[in-house]
Amino acid sequence: MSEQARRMLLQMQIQGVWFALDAACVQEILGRRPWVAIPGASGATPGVLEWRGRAIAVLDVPALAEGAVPMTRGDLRARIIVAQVGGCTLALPVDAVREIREVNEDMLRPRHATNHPYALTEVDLDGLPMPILDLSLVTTGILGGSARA
Amino acid sequence: MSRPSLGGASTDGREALVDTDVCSVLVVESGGVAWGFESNQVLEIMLERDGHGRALDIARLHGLPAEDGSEDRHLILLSMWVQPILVVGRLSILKVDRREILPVPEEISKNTKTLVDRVAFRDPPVLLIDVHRIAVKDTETPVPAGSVDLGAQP
Repeated sequence: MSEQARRMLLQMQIQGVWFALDAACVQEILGRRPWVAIPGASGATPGVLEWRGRAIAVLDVPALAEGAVPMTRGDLRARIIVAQVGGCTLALPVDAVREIREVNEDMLRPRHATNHPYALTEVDLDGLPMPILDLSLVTTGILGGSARA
Repeated sequence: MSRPSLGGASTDGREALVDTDVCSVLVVESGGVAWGFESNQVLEIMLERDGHGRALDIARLHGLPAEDGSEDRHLILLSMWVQPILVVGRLSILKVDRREILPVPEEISKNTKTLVDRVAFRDPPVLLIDVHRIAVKDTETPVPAGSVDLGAQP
């Protein structure tokens, strides 16, 4: 019998909405800490955060989609997820983080109950459908200039 | 006993007591943001009333409200070849450890028109302006966004 592929997913909540994130890209989870707004920066990456002696871009997930309230200067969220995709290191301020869940690959399905432009798949965790945020899609959008401002 | 020399090794070969990793930064708060210019890049500071053709209003260029009414209005000239920068607010000099100054990552700098290329993580943070991001002065081209016309060059 062939062994099923497994995925490790970190659960994070922003403005009342739960997302899943591939845990393999997570470098560190930090507590609340200030970030520096860069005037003129796009809504998706409004500023920088100091992390391990470098300035990394803050990624405001709500700014990626319609209908959510983007961060403004001085806004702080309870947790910051530091994630790395390719050569990009990003700081994702979120309201809450839950434990990593290991799921079978076949539990992932194309988005149906959720509708986020940077989550092409979703997963049901504890009966809650969660969009799986695709950070490589986000970084391609940011560096390619197509991320929503 | 020999004395340490300024900014280098002491005369007896021991490590110098003077920290050479500190730079001085000209800081001005304009539009609610602390902007910084490395002092060794500043050619001249002028009063706005002296005029200098066009200048870049640093706050307006970054979409921040202009602070009209302040009497502290200066032009900062970083190079003869680029427009001077108009700043509104008090000027001060800050000694900053270079290790506190970190470059803005590409994910931000690539898609923005900001002139900021580095950040000094202080309280308040200082956003350092890169002279190379300022358009080369050319009177034939239209006035770029954020420019203010200060009248004819004296």
